[in-house]
Amino acid sequence: MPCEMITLQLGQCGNQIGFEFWKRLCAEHGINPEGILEDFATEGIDRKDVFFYQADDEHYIPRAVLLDLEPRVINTIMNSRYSKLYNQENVFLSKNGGGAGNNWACGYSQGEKLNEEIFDIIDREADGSDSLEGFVLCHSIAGGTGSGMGSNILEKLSDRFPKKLVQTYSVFPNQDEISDVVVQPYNSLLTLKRLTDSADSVVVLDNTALNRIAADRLHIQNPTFTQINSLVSTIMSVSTTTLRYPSYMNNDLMGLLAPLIPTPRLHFLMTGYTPLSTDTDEVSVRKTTVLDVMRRLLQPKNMMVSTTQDRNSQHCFISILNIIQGEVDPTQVHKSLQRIRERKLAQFIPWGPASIQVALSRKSPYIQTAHRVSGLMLANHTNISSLFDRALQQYDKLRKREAFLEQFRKEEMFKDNLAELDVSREVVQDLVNEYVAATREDYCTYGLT
Amino acid sequence: MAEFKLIHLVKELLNVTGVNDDAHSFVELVQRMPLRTESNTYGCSSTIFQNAVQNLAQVVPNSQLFLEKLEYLKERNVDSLGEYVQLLNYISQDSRVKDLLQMKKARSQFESLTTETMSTKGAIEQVKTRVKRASKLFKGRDLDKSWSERNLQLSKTSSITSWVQRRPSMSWDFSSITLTTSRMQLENIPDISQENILIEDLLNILIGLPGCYIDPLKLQDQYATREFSLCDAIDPSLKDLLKQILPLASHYSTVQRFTEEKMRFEFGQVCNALAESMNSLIIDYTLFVTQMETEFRSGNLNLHKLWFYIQKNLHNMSFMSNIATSISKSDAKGGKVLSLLHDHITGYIGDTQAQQLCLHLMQAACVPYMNMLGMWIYKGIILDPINEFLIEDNEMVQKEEMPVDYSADYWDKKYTIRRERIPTFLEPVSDIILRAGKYLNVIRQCGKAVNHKVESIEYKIEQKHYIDAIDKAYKFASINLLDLVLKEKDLLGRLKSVKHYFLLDQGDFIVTFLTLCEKELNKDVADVIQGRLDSLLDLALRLSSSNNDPYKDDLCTELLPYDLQHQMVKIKTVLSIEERNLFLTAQKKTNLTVIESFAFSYEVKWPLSLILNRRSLACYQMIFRHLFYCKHVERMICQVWRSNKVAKSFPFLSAKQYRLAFALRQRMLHCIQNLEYHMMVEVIEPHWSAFMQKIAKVSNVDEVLTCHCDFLDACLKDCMLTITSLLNTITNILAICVKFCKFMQGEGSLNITDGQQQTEKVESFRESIASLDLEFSEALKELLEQINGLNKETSDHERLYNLLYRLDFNSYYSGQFEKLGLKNVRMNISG
Repeated sequence: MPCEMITLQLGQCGNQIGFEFWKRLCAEHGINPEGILEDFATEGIDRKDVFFYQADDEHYIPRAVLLDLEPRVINTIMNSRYSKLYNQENVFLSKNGGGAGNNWACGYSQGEKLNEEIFDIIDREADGSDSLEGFVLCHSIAGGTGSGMGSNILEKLSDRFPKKLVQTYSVFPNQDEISDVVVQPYNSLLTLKRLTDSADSVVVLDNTALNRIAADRLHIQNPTFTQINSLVSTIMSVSTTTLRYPSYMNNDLMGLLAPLIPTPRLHFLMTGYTPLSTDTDEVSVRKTTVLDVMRRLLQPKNMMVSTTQDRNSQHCFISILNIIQGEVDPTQVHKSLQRIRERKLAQFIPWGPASIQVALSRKSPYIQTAHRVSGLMLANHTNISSLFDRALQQYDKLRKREAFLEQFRKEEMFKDNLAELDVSREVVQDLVNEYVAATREDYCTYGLT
Repeated sequence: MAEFKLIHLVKELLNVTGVNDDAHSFVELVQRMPLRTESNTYGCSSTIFQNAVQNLAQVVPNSQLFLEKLEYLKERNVDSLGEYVQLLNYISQDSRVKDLLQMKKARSQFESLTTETMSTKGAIEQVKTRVKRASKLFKGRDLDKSWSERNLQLSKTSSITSWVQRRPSMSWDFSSITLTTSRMQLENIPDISQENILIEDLLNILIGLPGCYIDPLKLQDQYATREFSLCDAIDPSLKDLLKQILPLASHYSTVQRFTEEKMRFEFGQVCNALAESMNSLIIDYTLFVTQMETEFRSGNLNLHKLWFYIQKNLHNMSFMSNIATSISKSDAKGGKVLSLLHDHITGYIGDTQAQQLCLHLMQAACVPYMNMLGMWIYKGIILDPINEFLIEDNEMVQKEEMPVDYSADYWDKKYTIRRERIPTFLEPVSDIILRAGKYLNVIRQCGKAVNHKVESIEYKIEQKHYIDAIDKAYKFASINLLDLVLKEKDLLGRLKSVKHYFLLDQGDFIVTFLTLCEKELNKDVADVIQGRLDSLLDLALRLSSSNNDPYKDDLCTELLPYDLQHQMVKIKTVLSIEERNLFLTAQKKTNLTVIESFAFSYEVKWPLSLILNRRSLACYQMIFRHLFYCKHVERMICQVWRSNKVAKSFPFLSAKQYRLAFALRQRMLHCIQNLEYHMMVEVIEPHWSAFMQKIAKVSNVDEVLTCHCDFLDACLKDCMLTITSLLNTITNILAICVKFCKFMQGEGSLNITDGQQQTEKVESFRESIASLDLEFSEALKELLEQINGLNKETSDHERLYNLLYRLDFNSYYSGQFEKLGLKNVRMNISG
């Protein structure tokens, strides 16, 4: 079966959003927490096999691998209603259980040590699927396990499966609040290097923006992790609807990502979703039209990435894919595109053809939504470099003071020198430069002698 | 089908008239013209006819001759005389046509060396005669055919001897004229006795026996009125009286001749029935003559009394002979007889007696015809040995040995209406009659019994009764068949399944299939075993969501010996020179790869094969091949993208070498994905939903067929398959993309270039990309220009505008072409 995906959930954050994601997938496909198909679910309208496989006894089992260095989150999952859903063999907990201590280097080296055990699981999963298209990795880049061990796994994955796609859902730390993880800038930078070099597509989930959206759009003042994670799970599930509900186009991950990512390094994607609503908030049901949805998706305040708006910069869209769900007439889509073009609501790159691609997708018949039309935007925008720029600045501040480096020096990688940090900084700086270059017309020939 | 026939006819006409012009434009012109003759499709109205005759009589040099000819033709009830006269009238009024005809005539005159100078009117006459000759020839041919058929039947069936023909003396129509033995000289007999002798003679004459003093004359021709000669010696007053009475004998003779002839089986059941019914009236008449004789024997009859008694019979008999003559002269049979009778009935609307009689005859004559009709509309059976019925069964093949396109032929050709056989009173419902029986036959072919009671249909002067009966039978048949097709045979499910496979609306299946036969598709056709493709297809069906489709097993693969362009060109029956050249060059290309020749085929069972017939499956195949090829190319580009991903870990300096190639790849992908989006989401899907809405409202299977055809035609048109030049451009673009992909995957495959020895390689790579870039840009420019050009002329291709719009969303191309120094594409992207 084509485009089968294996999901890897790493660390506290990765496992939490993964958990929400699977809950949502089960609901959409009509699978109950035990993995058994509900009575009301009918065959033939969706493809469960992208993310699930069937056990001998008709149970649907997620192709998910749960990895963590400390047992807290995984234990919560295993004590929940969904405990029977997962394949127990795919749950990996480090034996010492001490975690990575929010240290990238610690996570990375532990990942190195546990490499064989982890890849035993991954290989088994990969062998079990008929035609594996790629991996989905959920993690955060700030902590220790998700960033450190995640980086290690990313490197190994692209070595071992060079033909498979690796997509990550990476949670970026909240910039508005002071983190209790002091080495966060180091962690982020080191992970960013791996995301640049080893992942094929990174969906950036910026905690800053997620919190802002929760506060502004959903009117939740102090959003809980669960509420934020449900936002994330919405993004994750909708971005895979064209795979799970096959229609004319975008039916495999490759076809979905290829038009979004013209050059291999510029593969960091922003997302936006509208209309947003939570379980508690059902009063603000408005009439939604395709034009409404598409226009709102282009507004920065709906973006799940917080980027600094610089009026003078030439930042622009490299590509856009809008996944529209609901009752949509193709002519409406065309009209909306015309309006957007006339009003110049979106700036595009000058060095190639670019447009808003639209994928009309079906919705799960088992979930009732109040809105007629909803849409997800996956966009490749040069402005994402401001996020990396910020990461660089924070790193530089810390690095100048040589602060908190002792923990890193303890690990094998940094015993002799800190060259790894310098290399990573260079890679990220190059990435920022390339994004800036992509705003210019001579991007294709930029850097050539 | 009808359109092609029309084109053919127009072409022939143009050939004959020597006009060098495109037949298509004429046909279009004709089709665009408001159908002014719509109201009089079946014979033009009398006022128009009269006007035309008057006009013609004025312009024709010998109007007397013309009118006589016209009368003659009218008498023979020639079909479409009205239209013909009208045409002549148009010609005579249109000076340009006249000039043209004259020119033609002058030319032909020159050839035939006729020196006679002819006026324009003469030209008309000439045309007229020519047309007439042609029509006669045609008619003759038709007659020949029917005669040969008839002879065939005669030889097959044991012939029923026509005694009247064999033994002429058996006829009751003055068979032996020489009976002069007991002839007395009348001169010497007094008037009063003369009267008695004459009455006796007359009574003989009245029942077709020869008389002594009244002699039946020899007939001019078979259908002429019989005249009598009276003995000179008869007293003048008696002679006058006799002359008054004798027309009765003439009429009797006509009717008797008619019945004796039409009794023969080869004249058909309708004529037989009519003759039978007339015969019974003749018997009544003979009874009357016998009564007269009794009266005469008892001495109560004189000529005056006889004259008084025969009044009623004279009227009836003259009426019958009228009918008999008109039928005999026009050589009518079957439906036409009924038409004539119907005309008579409506013609005698004031004369109750005549109408009553005519109605009686009509009802009798209708019985066999209505029986046939009943069998047809209630059972779908034709019982028509003498070819009288308006529906003809063209027995082509038995169903068991049916060729592939049996179904299409079945629907169009198995049963046809013979226009000339339709009785006028059934004309408005003829289509319904045809369909009623056809539907029943389809139902029967499905192996289901047709449980419809045969009710007898009668002819009534008030049309209501039989029209209602036909309507009811038709509704029964059409509802039953529609139910059978839509509910029992699940037509909609079938169509949806066909849509999954041929219109690619279930993408995961096609992705699976493409993945599975990746290697096979680029091979030469000769190197591939079709069985392998079939098994891969089977696997793909089972692996994807199509597994739940109950009809998935009917899908199979097919390798066609020509590519899509070729197929499209072939379909266009009329080729322009340019297209023909292209056609020839296309033919040279013999080595097709699998992807070029690949198509799905779909097994459809009776009766759904009527709707999913050969033609519509071919349409599906064409759309499929185009979409499939696009998908294939899209996938190739995606694979290039995937293998390019290694470049991200290259050192910054090496990676940038490839950026131009990446940009080109992006442009190709953008172009193809937009093309696909256009075809799938903006063309097929809206047309499909419109089709589904229409099909929910249909009332019979013919409508299902039409809206299905409309759907396919619309899809073909809006997917740009019908415009050859556009299709060529798109195919060219796709070919360039394939070339690029092969280059990128082969020699241009990425590896880290370091050191000086690689500079050369980098240089050649860059050059190749640049040339591909130029090639692609020019091809795309051509496409954009073509679409733009199409839109200027007509609004037919409005949908294509959307494609233009999407391809150049950020005005990249409109700006880029200027810079490239290519001719400026002025793109008007506003609507």
